[in-house]
Amino acid sequence: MATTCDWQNLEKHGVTTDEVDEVLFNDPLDFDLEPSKDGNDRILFIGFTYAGRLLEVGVEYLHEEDEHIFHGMDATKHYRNAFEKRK
Amino acid sequence: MAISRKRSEALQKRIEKTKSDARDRVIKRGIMHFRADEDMMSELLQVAQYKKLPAGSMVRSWVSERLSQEHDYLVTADRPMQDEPVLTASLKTIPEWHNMEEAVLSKAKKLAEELLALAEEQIKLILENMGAGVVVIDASGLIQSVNSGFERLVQQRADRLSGTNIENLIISEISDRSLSVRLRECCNGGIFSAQIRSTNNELVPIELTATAFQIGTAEQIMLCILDASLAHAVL
Repeated sequence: MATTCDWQNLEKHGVTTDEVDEVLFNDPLDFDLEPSKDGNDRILFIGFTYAGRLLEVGVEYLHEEDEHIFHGMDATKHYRNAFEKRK
Repeated sequence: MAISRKRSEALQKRIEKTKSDARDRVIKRGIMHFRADEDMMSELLQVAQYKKLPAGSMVRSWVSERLSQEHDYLVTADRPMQDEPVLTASLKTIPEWHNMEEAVLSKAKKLAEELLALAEEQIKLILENMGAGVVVIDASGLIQSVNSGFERLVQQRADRLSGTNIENLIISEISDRSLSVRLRECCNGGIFSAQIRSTNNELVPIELTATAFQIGTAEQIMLCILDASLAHAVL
């Protein structure tokens, strides 16, 4: 299984791959997104980094167990509220 | 925008795997950030300065000490209850043995382990925060480890690079010998220019130095790689 990233997107939003891993591991909320153009499932994870930054991280599930992190940025108000409500 | 639908079992399994793989990477990386208010940071730095220790190393030793106090919990958390009395009894009775030699040896071993871990953490911090890409290869050119500078340079993650042959990434101007042979020859012998292939097949000019070292009986080579695109653009 391999994980690839859209480095340009992460860099644009000042998000590191370390932060992405922290969010994915740190009990995130997950939302289904519209499938990609290729019909792959896409999930948006919302969670905190260890430094307390609330991020949204988009993962596309490719064939053969591979996954692609296509998006990462500070959580928008909509998802921030959703995360707050979970508490 | 999020959609509402019934999620398949297979997708749910992949999501759980994404989380567990991320956990493995976080553990392997061994770096954790946390937020502290100004007062706490100021006090922390003062204590570190007084103790003549890097603040991060000092906090690490505190966490290590605290975790050893939580040992009973860590050991028993995933085990059936009947295992608990055996484990906790053997740990807690050590001071009661009055066996000074064992106690001193155990303390010395713990201290040595902590010092080793501190040194390792310092090296890790230096490697992770330097701008240049650093990659360690074995004698046959297989990548053993990389720092984040190298990840950025080739736009690939460390877990994908590990085990790849460096010859697939670096294109040397000398084609009559294999790159790993050429690298061994130029170890500690200055800088040489080459090109590196990033994930989108783009060739980036680089300058690299190589240093050979031994781990046990195995020979390894550390490459320090600088992106020379700017210099090339100016020239």
